[in-house]
Amino acid sequence: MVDHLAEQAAVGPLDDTRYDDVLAFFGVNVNWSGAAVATGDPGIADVVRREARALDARDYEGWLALFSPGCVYWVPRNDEVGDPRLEPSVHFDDYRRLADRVALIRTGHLHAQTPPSRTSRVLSEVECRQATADLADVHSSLIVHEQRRGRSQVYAGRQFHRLERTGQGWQIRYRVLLLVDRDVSQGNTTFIL
Amino acid sequence: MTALDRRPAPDEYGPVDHGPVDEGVVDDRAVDYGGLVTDDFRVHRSVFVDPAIFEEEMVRIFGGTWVYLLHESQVPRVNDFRTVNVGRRPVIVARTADGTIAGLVNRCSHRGTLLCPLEGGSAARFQCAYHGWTFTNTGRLVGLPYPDGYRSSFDRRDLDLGRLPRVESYRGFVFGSLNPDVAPLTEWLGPARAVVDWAVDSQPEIRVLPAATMVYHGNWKLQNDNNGDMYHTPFTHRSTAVMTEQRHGTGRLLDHFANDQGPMAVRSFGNGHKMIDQRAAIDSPWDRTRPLPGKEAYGEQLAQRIGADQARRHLEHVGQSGINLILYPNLHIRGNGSLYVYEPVAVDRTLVHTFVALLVDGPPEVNALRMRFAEDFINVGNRDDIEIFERAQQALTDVGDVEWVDVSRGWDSGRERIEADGSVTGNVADETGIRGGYEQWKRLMAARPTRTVADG
Repeated sequence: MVDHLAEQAAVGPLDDTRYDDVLAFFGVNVNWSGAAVATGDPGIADVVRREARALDARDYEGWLALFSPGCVYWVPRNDEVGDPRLEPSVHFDDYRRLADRVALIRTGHLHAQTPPSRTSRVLSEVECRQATADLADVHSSLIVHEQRRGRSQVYAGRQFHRLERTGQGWQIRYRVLLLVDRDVSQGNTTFIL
Repeated sequence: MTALDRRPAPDEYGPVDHGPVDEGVVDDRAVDYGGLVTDDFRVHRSVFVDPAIFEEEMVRIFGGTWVYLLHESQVPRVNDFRTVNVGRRPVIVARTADGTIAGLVNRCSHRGTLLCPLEGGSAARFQCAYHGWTFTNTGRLVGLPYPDGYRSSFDRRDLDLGRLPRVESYRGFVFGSLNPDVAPLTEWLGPARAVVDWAVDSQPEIRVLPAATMVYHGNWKLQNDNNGDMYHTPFTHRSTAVMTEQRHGTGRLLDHFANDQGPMAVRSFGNGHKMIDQRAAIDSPWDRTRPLPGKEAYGEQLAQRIGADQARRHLEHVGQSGINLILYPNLHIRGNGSLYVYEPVAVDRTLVHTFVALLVDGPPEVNALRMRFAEDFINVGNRDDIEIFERAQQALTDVGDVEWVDVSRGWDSGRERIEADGSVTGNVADETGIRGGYEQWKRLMAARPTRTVADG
């Protein structure tokens, strides 16, 4: 059993302040039509690329290590996205739940990943909207081609990352994935989108 | 004045009568459906894999009995509507001017076009995008462009939208039937009605919102059976149980089912309705709920605002309260927090629409946590269920020379008992509820309903 109090202390509370911040982050990014900024720091876009690479490699521990303890991974459900406190999402996960999902795969008993999915991600249009010394918002387009037990499926969407500079370098504080089929149906996404 | 402006007088139309079924049009297959479920409770594989049987289910089951449409809170105001499917038939469910709820076949009576392609909204009238035919939300044809082009004997009254002949609501849950001869809703619910009462009365007023939709390549009955099956829990959901114990220790949900003994029970209510009753084994849903995003922060915030005791009372409403009630064929009431609605798409394809119930006047912390709770099992436990349905569909389809599956667990064992209300109670891991479903399947499949609206 993990040390919950320690994990929770590191994660920090998912309270109204955090919800407000995630929602504000989404709001300023979703309708952005400005010009990308040059950051001069290749580490920023690299985090987003490493995330895609780690998931394709099923290196879930490496993937999780890209997130900061105070992270939120949000996949909205509705066409018109509203406040996740007031409407259901496909995912609204904190670090602890992301760790649950990785642990679930690693139990060896997850039938939904027996055998595992093979995925190939195309990450494109990576742009930095805003960067300060310690904070960067990154936009990208994502296409995930998944194959499992002879059946192929494509998931596509636009994603927004907020990165923060921590002791471990740039880490993901928020990731919002706006799937094009978010309000229709999802298949077996236990491989982690 | 355009043709669209012409409005009929209210008394211009009488009740819609689509006439009797033309027996010559539809091939009423001479299949002995009853023989596909044996007296010792084996079910033939064709029930899951034969496309012709699926087509007939759409007429005899989804066209023959009550089908869950939506919750009243999804259409709170006059003219609100949502689109659903009754079996595969697209239906508009609308709150009409007099406050009642109507079910309209979502198909223009002119050339058969889907009338409304939206998930929901608010509209008093629906105009077909093809030629502008316009219908009220009670189904009346009130706009027909350039009407002079029709012969004098052309009777517009024949061209109202098809309408579900029966729509009834019980405690906020709205059901419709294409079969005008179906029993009154409360009678059809039978002893399951008391469980609906419990689900409604054990919490304040709810508001239902659509959440994620799951899709799987398998027959709809696999999900229906499974929601009344506790036998699979420690095996299918082993990943969830192991992860939970590794990360969050013992005493959590799923942990309360260690073997097939204990205080829980499965019940079969008749008409295919069934329940897994876990209430006796779940002392505190809040304590048993694995850590949710925000569980501690909102728990403490609520306690500070309204006091620890009051907060605890509300927080017990966050998680699974211990009932899985399945109303045959398509509604699963999961505790008091969420609903799953099964939509058959093809013999081997099913959608599971999930809904979260929020408390209308409840603390915002509790509502946020309810959504985080519902998202959890959909993305953790349900994916293993769906994998199993797909494996079942695959082998049932591909292995033709082994014909039967067995749902007899607990039957004739001496451990089932008949209650005063006529329901049957079994050991929680018995297939008592599943058998009730197949008894209803046989009953409904024995004959076509005399009429359905779609026969017009």
